[in-house]
Amino acid sequence: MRRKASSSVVVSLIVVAVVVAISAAYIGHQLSAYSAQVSELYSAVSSLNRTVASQASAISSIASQQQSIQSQLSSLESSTRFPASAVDATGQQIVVYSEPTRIVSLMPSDTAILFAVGAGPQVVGVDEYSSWPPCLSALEANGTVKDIGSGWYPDPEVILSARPDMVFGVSSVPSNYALKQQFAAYGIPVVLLPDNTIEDVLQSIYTAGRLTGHTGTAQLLAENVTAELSYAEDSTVGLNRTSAALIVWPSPIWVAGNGTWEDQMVTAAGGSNVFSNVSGWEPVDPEALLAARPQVIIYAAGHGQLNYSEFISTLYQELGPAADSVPAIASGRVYAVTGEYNDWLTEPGPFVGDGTILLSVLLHPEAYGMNYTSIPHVVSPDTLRLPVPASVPVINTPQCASAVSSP
Amino acid sequence: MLEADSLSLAYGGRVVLEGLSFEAYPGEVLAVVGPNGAGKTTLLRALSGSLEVAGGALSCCGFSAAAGERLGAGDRISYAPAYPDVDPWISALDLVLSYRMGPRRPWARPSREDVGAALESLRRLGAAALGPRRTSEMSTGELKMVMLAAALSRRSDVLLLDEPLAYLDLRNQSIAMSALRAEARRGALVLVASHELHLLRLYADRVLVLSGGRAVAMGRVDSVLSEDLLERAYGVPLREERALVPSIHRAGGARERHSYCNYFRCGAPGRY
Amino acid sequence: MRGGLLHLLLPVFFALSLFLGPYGFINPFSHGLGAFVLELRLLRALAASLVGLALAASGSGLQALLKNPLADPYILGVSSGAALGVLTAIAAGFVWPLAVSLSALLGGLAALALVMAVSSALGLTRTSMVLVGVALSYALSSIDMIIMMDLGPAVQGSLAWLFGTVAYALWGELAYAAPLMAAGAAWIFLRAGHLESLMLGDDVAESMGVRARRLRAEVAVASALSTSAAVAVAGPVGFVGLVAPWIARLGSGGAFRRIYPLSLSLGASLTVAADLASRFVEPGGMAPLTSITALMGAPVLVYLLARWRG
Repeated sequence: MRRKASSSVVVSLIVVAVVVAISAAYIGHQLSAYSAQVSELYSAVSSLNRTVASQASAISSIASQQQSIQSQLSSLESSTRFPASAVDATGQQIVVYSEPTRIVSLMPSDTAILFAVGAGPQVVGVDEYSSWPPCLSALEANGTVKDIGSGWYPDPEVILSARPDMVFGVSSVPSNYALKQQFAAYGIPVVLLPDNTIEDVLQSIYTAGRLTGHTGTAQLLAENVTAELSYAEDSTVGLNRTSAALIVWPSPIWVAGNGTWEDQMVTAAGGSNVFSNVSGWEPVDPEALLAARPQVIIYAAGHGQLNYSEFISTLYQELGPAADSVPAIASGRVYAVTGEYNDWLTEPGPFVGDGTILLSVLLHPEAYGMNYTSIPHVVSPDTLRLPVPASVPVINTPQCASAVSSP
Repeated sequence: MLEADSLSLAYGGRVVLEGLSFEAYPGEVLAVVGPNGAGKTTLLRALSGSLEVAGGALSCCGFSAAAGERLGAGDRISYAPAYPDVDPWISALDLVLSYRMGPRRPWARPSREDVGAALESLRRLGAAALGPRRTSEMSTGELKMVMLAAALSRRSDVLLLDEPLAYLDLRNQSIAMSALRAEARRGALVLVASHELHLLRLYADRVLVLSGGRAVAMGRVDSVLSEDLLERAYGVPLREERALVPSIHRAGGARERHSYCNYFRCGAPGRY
Repeated sequence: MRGGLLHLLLPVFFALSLFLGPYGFINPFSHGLGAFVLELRLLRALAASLVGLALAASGSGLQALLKNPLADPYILGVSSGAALGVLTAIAAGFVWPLAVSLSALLGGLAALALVMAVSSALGLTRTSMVLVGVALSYALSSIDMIIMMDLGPAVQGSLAWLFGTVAYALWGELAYAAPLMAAGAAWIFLRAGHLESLMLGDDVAESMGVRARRLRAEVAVASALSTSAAVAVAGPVGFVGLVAPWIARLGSGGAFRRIYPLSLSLGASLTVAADLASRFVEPGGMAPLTSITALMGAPVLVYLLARWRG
C-alpha cells in the first residue's frame, strides 16, 4: 500500500503549495496595496509639512511686523508726551524736549506730587523734610535718592552735585526764584509749583504730570482728588457746620486761617474754621481760642513730636481752668493727627482729598454711621480706618522702584 | 603882609570882635592876648581860614577875604589849635607826616624827604623819641609839642599858634620859645595867642591886646604891657595881687594918658 | 611791609573759593555741568569780594569821618532801610531776585536821605548824624519785625536774605551793583586826603582847606551808595565793615591813606573766606554769612589788639 500513501502525500503537498501560493500572492497583493497606501500617506504628510512650514514663516513674519508696529506706537506715544510745555506758578512757560530722568524736589509737597503722578523712578534728589511716600527713606538709604538739604535755603552746588535735569520748587519761597534764574543760565528748568490752596494742588498735579511725561496718571489723580472732595462734601451736605480749630503748633498756638488749604479742607468737610478771620498761618492768643469756642480741635501732631496727652496738658497750661469751657475740650473732641494722616493735612499734596475725607469723619462722624465717642484721640492710619466704600479713590501710597538712569 | 581892616568876626551867632584893624609883617612874632572869650581863638581861626569874615576885610599872603568869605591861604598858613583833638591811634610821626602832606592827593605816600623833614621837625623840638608812640599814649604836653612840630614842619609863611606854651613843662616851654624865634628869623610871621603874659618878653616882638570885643592896644611888648592896661583889660586888681603878673612894669599915675584910654574910662580911680 | 603781605590773602582765598565746594574739585578745563558750577563759584567769589570791599570802604570812611571806632557801614540806618525795602517787596509778592535787590538798594538810599535831611536841620554834625542814624535804625527795625511776624511761615524766605548770603548772586545783579559799589569806594578814596586831615582835628583840617560839613555829606552819601549796593547783592552782612578797617589800622598804623586800600583788600578777603567756610559749615543748608564773618573776624581782632597792647 505504499503507492497509495505516496500519492496522498503528493496530493497534500500540492494542496499545501497551492494554498501557500494563493496566500502568498494574497499577502503580497495586500502588502503592495499597503505600501502603496503608505507611500500615498507619506507624500500626503510631506506635502502637509511643506504647507505648515510656509504658514509658520507667515505667522512669524506677522509677529515681527506686530512688534515693529508696537514699538512705533510707543515711540509715537512718547513723542506725543514730549516735547511738553507747561506754565508754572511764576507765569513762565517751561518747555521740556525729552523725558526728565534726574529730578530734584525742593519741597515735601512737590515730592509727594511727583511720586503720586508716577514720576518716582525719575526722582534723584529730595529735600531734608520730604517724608512722603514713606518708602523714601529706604531710597535715601540705598543711595538712589540724595538728600540735598534745605529747600528754604537751597545750596546750588549741592543740588547740582546730584546732576539734575529738572528741579521742582514752590512759588512761596523767594530763594527758589533766585535758583530758577541761576539754573536757567545752564538750561536746567526750575519749576515753581503753586502751593497755597486746593486749586493750587490740582494745578501742580497737572503741571508736574505734563512735564514729567505722566499726563494720564496726573489726570486720573486730579480726578480722584476732586471725586474725594465731592464725596466729603456730599456726605456732609445739609448737616450743621461743625466749628473747628486747626492747630499746627501747640505753643504758642499757631492756627491755619483763611487762604490756606487746611481752611478749604475744613469747609469742604462740612466744618467752619473758627479762625477764618485770621489770614494765613498765625499765632493766636489763648484767649482767642477761648472766645472762639470750637466744637472740634484738630492738632496736626507731626510725626510724633508732641503726643496727645502732652498736647492736652499744654492746652490746660495755656488756657487755665477756663479750658473746660471750650466745647471741644469738654466733649473730648480733641484729636491729635499723626503718621501719614498728618501729612494729609499739613502738606498741599496729592492727598488733600483724603485729608478732607478724614476731616469729615472727625467733624461729622454721624454721616458715616459712627458716634464721636468711638473716634480715638490719636488719629493715625493704625487707629482709624476711613469708613468709606471701595469706590472712593483713596490714594495709593506709591511703592518706590529704584531710579532707572545713572549720572 | 597880614592886614585886618575893620574886621568883625562872629561865632555861634554872637559878634566876638568888631572894628579890628592891624597889620603884621614877616619876621616878627606877634602875640595876641586878652581875657577868655575875648576872641583870640576866633581871630586865629579866621586867619587860618576856618571861619568866615563877618564884616570888614582880611588879607594875608596874597589872599583876601571880605564879608562872608573865608581866607583861603592854604599852604601858606599853618595852624596849631590850643587843645589838640587828634585820632588816638596814629603815631606822632604819622601826625606830622599827615600835617605836612595836607589833604590833597589821595594816593600820596610820604616820600623820604617828607619823612626826613618830619623827623627833623620833631628832633628840633626834642620830641624825636615820641615818633613811634601813639597819640593816645602821650600826655597833653607831649602832644602839643608834636602838634607844634607838625605846624613847623611845613615851613609856611604864616604860623598861627593857639596857646603853644600851654601844658608845657619848663624845658619844653624854653624849647618852644626858641623855635618860635627861629621861625621868625627864617622870615615867617608867627602869630601866637597866649596867656603866659610873663613870658611874652622872651619871644614876642609885638603884642595885640583884645578886650571887650575890640583891640585896645598894640605895640612893642615892653611899651604896651603895663599893670594899668592889664587891670583894665582883664578886670583884675593887679595892684593888690602883684604876684599874678610879675615883672610887668608899673604904670605911672592915673593922670598919664595912654591910647587905651579911648576904650577905658581912665582917670576914675577904682574903675576899670 | 607787613601790610603788603596781607594783600596776598585775597588771591589765595579767591583761588580756594574756585576749587573747593560740595560739588568737589573741578578741573578748570572741564565742560558741561562742572564748568557751570565753576562759573557759579566764580560768581560767588566775585560777589563776595565786591561786597567785602564795599563794606570795608564804607566802614573805614565812616570811622574816620565820625571819629568813632565803633562805626560800621550800617550806623546811618542803611541796613534797616534796605531790610524794610526787601520785606515790603516780599510781603507785596515781588519775590524775583532783581526786585528784591532793587528794593534793598532803594530802601537803603531812602534811609540815608532821611538821616541826612533830619541831621542837616540839626547842623549836620557828627553827633546829629550818629544819633539820627541810630534812632532811625531802631525805628525801622521794629517795623521790620512787625512785617516779619505778619508774613508767617513765609518769613523763612526773608530770613535767608537777612542773614546775608552770596549763594544766590546773579550776573545781572552784579552788573548794576558793582559799578555802584566801585563808585562809592572810589569816591571815598578821592576824599582820603581830606579824611586823613580830619584826623588832625576839625579846625586844623579846615585851616588846610577841608570843608568839614561838605565832607560829611559826601562821605555819608558815598558810603551809603556802596553799602546799599552791597546789601542789595548779599543782604546785610555784618562785622566786615567794622573789623576790616581795624585790622588794617592795627596792621599798618593809623594814617588813613595807608589803611584805606588795605582795609578794602582785607574786607574782600574776609568775605570770600567766610563764603568759602559757609559751604562746609552747613552744606545743603545755609550758614549765615554774618555769623561766619563774626566768628572769623572777632578772634583776629582780639589777637591783634592784645598784641598791640603789649
